[in-house]
Amino acid sequence: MLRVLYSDLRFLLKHISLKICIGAAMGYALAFVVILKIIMSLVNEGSFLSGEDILSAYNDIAIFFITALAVMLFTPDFNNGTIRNKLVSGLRKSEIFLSSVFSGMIASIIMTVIVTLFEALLSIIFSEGFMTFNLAELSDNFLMLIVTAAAVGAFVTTIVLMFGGTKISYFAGFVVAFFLNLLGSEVATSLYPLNGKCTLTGAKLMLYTAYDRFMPFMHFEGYPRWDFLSYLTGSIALTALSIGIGLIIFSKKEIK
Amino acid sequence: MFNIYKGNLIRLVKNFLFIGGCILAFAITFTIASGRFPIDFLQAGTPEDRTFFASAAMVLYFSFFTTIFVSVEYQDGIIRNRIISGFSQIEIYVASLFAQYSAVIIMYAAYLLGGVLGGARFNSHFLKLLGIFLLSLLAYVTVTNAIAFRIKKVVFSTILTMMLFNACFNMVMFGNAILNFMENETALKIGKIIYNIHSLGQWFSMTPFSLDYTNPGYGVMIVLSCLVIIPAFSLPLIGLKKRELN
Repeated sequence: MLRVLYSDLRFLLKHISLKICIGAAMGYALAFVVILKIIMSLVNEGSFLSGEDILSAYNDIAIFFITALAVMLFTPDFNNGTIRNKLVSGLRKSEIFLSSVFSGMIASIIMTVIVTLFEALLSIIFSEGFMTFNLAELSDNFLMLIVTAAAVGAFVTTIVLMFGGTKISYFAGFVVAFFLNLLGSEVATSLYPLNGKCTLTGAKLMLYTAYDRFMPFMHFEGYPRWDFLSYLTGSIALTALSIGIGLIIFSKKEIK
Repeated sequence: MFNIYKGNLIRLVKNFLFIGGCILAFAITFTIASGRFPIDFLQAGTPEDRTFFASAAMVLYFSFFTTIFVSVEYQDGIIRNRIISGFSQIEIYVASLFAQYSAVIIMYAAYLLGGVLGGARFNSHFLKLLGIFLLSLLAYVTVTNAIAFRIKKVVFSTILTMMLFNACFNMVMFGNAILNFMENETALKIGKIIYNIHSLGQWFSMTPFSLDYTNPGYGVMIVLSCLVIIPAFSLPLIGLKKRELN
């Protein structure tokens, strides 16, 4: 297990996909800042950019970047015979699966940390400073992002591995990410409406609140609204669920 | 070229992703149009409004279907075989594009059937909206086909087209939030054009949920779709004859 994990980690650190995804995410954050600056100059001369605005750039689209990274790293393994070679060399399917999921989690964390630090640098250069949060709260947010990125990385890598070797593996993660994004917006706007009070009641309110509190995908929606323990619980639960379900499906999967 | 187009069509109607997509287009539209979809705002309005609202799912579908369908030709050696048979790469490209247009029209028919059975009735306004959206969808497919045909690698082209879809979606969300505050007339006009240059923007501008300040007029939408189709069709032709195929 450790042997294959070392090999997978070495592979991902040297793989161009990680560099492409990090570069694209940083480019996106930079473009976000530039476009926002231009729009603000057109809309209202008195408006300004806060550090929190810049820090939210990557969060809004993080699921897609993490999915892209997982697709680029793990789908070729099924087509170029890497998985088959690992099986021939005596590794069990469960070991291959776990190693890939851990690698996906670490790749996701590396990308999130680098891009968030880059956004912090952009905030210092282009923003008027942080308006809502102090340094301790920003550090909490950063820690929460790392935990969330690991959980989301495990989830999307599981999807890619479950459908690996089929055409569905190329887009399944993106489609799931898109619908989770829509669901996240629906939950956020229902619980925290811009105008008026929340009108949800009963079971729907409980369900929406639980989703907002524990689902890691919601942690990318805006700033921390719950305690760190809730985020940690949700992320561990999603990771455990992804690994559990993924292990069952991947073990029964026929590798061509 | 007609032979390649015919071959693509045969492959298309046997493709499980396409058949599944058409069945889904029919079933989802029928459920939404008849007011049976379990989301509150999708039970409001007329069946025509609800049918039109469902059409956006086709933009998401063609974001990945086109790339999967076209890119697989490179993996399976279909393109190389066609070149050996004497067809030029331009003929293969044009035939691929027309096959995608046919896919859009077939799925559009399945979607309309679902809408009509769900209670939607055609009137001049509804037909106008459907026609404009169809043109914008064809423009979108021209772009996704161009990406898939020139990039060749299925992983990269899928990621690019899915990111393109996400960018279009975010542009709609962002545009809704920002266009209302634009005081400069010229900036607002440019903003409207950027908002409506892709099919998701045009779709939202034509739904009952749209905001007045995002709609540049139906004539402008048609012109914008044509302006997308022309370069999206022409640019991939540059250097097409000279490129290497592995």
